[in-house]
Amino acid sequence: MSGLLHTSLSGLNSDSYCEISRYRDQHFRGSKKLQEKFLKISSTLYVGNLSFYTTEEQIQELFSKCGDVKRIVMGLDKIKKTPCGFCFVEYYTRADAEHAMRFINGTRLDDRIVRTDWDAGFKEGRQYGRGKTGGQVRDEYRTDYDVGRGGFGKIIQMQKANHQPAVY
Amino acid sequence: MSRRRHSDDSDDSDGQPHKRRRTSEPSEIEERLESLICRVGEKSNSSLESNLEGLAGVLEADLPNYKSKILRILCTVARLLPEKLTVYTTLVGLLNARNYNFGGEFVEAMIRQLKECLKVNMYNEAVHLVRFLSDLVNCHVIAAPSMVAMFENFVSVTQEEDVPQVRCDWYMFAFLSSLPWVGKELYEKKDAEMDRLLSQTESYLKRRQKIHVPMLQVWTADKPHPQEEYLDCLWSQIQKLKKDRWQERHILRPYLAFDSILCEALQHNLPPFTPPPHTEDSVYPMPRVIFRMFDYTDDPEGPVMPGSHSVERFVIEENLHCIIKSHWKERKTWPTSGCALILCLPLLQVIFAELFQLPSPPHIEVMYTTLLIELCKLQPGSLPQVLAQATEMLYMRLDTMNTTCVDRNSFTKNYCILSFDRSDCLTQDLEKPKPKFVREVLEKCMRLSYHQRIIDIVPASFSVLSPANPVCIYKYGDESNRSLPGYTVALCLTIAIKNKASNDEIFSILKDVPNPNQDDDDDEGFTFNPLKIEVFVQTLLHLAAKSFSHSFSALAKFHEVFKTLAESDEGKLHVLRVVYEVWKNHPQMIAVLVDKMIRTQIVDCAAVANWIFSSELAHDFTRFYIWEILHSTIRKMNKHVLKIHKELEETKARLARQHKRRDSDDDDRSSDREDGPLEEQIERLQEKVESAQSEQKNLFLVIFQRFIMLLTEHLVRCETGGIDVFTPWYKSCIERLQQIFLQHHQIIQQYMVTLENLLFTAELDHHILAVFQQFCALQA
Repeated sequence: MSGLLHTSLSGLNSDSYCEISRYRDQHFRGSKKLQEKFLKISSTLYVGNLSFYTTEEQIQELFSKCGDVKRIVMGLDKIKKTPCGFCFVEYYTRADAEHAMRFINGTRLDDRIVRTDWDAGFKEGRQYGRGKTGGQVRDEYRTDYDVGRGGFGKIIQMQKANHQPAVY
Repeated sequence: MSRRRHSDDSDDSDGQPHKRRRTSEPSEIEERLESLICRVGEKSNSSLESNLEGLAGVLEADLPNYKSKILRILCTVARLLPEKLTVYTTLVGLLNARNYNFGGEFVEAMIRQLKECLKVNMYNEAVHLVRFLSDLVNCHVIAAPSMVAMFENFVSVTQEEDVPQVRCDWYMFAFLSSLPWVGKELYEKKDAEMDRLLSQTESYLKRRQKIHVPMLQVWTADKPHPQEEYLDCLWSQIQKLKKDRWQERHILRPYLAFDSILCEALQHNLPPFTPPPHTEDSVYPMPRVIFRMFDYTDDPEGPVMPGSHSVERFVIEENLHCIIKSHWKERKTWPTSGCALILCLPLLQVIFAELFQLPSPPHIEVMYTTLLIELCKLQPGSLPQVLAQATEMLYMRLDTMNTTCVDRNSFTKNYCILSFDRSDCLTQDLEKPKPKFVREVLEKCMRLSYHQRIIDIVPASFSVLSPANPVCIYKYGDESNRSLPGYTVALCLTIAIKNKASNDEIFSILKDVPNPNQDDDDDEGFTFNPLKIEVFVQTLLHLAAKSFSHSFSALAKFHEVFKTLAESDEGKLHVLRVVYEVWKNHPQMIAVLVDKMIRTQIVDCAAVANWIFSSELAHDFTRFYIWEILHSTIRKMNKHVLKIHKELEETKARLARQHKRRDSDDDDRSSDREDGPLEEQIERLQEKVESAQSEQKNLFLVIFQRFIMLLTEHLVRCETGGIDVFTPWYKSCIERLQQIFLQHHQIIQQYMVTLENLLFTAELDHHILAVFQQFCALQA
């Protein structure tokens, strides 16, 4: 019975907040398998549902509770180059990023519930929103009014604009 | 071709890694066994007793084929699930009743596991194993006299000579902490021997030294709750238990329901257990002080909270610590973990005890915040109010709370603070703990939001406690400053940088800056020129002030200039000074800049340490951000040493593997030539390790030296002035020194001789020397 101390029981190792999600970056250069491999060793997190007004300082303060932050890359509107509600947080170690997945994901920043997810690694260009109007795709289609994310979704905004009575 | 494509697709279809298919039955059964065993005792439609009986039947049937697996699983849950101890001891009892040999093998396996744990310094897990074994007495698996014999061997460790006290402490703790479970049974069978053991315990506890206690206490005052040393507290609890004739009411004992079956079972004798000897590599757990903040008077409406010397208190708290340890990672299990069912006060006390534990909480701090929030959601009718009251209580007692704990306190309280009346802070000197605390909390709130919001929330009367607006201070910004030396160069620099000048162009602009330190400027080399540093750093930081990213970019772009200007030690110190001058309103920015500068080797750790203790920073010396920076610096240094050490070990391992391959190859052609590059690398890494370790030692020596200077100055001043030494500043400073010792005690142990001979000598003021003595007592 050697190595008794090395026995681990899968039932006791539950760490569901650190599991990779179903999301895969469609622009990722490489196979699904490769992306998954990167996700499993990554120390970079995607952070979503931020307010457009949330600053790097606030993100630094929140995420440094889990370890030293190596880099924060703010997500930007592709056209306006202003923050559009997401960012990447890169830690020096995966262990620190795991703490963030466990304890920061689903908690509040700037009075909004933030969502963290594993990211395969920041590459130049990924800091831009991929929606047609420059921001994130989700802000194109949503129908609710979100004051921290520019109000109504873009499509709704355009519809409203088209229906405006002309002012003479 | 098509087959290949198919295998690619199958990766996509379910995202699961390809499992190699073998005869699945055995592994499926093993998984099922694991799952059954791990889950017994959890919420279920049937009673615990029927679940245990059923499981015992299943396992008994599987023993012929899966005995070794079952043994392994049971040993592991005994070690890793101490909160379900009695569930598993009952299970083992039932198995032993059905299969005597299995019981014997299990006991043997447990003893082997216990020895393994002790050999690799897993003392906390070993305690659980000892407790498990002792509860097996209650389940008629182990004969009581043999358990007493084991405890006799444990207690006799206190007679060993020349061993650290912490070794004896552990064996004593393992013995005493098992008694709530098995004291009754052992006393009934072997009262004379137990009495002897208890009296030996008493005399050991009387003679052991407790110099370390002040260093570990969260509260510096003994009122309203004394902070007892953990063994003293446990001893009082056991004494009371004995007085109550070993009646213990809290522990769940499923085996009682099976008494008729179990008492028919044959018992095993534990083999004689010799505690493994003390070695140089033995690292025993540090002593603890029991944190108390509530007693039964704090909950007049609710169920009575057990007294601090009742054994129920011990059992409940142990159980909670175990639950937290098993579940801290997995938030979704918190509702069913048992935490949510426990009474508010003991639960909060345990959570705060862990959060405030010195030197560090057992788990990452942020977990506790999230845990408290989740628990409030699970018990919305009771916990939030109790938590608010607890927050208030902690605030009221801030004056006597250890500074390090106050920091952690502010960490959790930033959302509670604003709901209470804090006007008592306004009448106090701003350096006192309460106003200081409120200021730090407001600063933290600001970091998580923004300045204007804090101004809006904080009533006008409290504005003196509000944080400063985190704007940058550029000394060359105003036309009115044009008489300052270097002003014109600063303007030049600004234009050049905006026009994307290169490092060389920057150098040539800076050449024109006169050196206030010497008469003739040295054109060849760059000697320390504080004005050059000032002009460059001020201007650059001002231009990059927009965000952290901008500033980091600037540091990276002009790295060469920084390195050259900050080449000397004075240069490094001055860079730090200027950073502070520019960003003193924005401590968070200072912290991230210093971090970057260390990582890019613009400044080194010793420079940061010297800067922190410099007179320019004296005003901010007690502010939290300073210690944030210092501890972060020490951590970086430690990580650096570990990293290079790891590289060295890995390279050595590669060389060893190469040798092994050659030995088995028998090929004479592979010569020492092959070893050459690796051996060279090892030599280089060895040098690197030594240089890093020397830098690390130097860092700690600088820190200790500066502490001593600062504290001595204060003590002398107080003595000659006839004023009380114990000012808020002094309390904060001495506790910060203690924290350095505590937090990095393993590394600092290496320097004991140097510290004793060089710094903490007998001539030192006894106040400062006491801290060093407390530290030495920790692992003595």
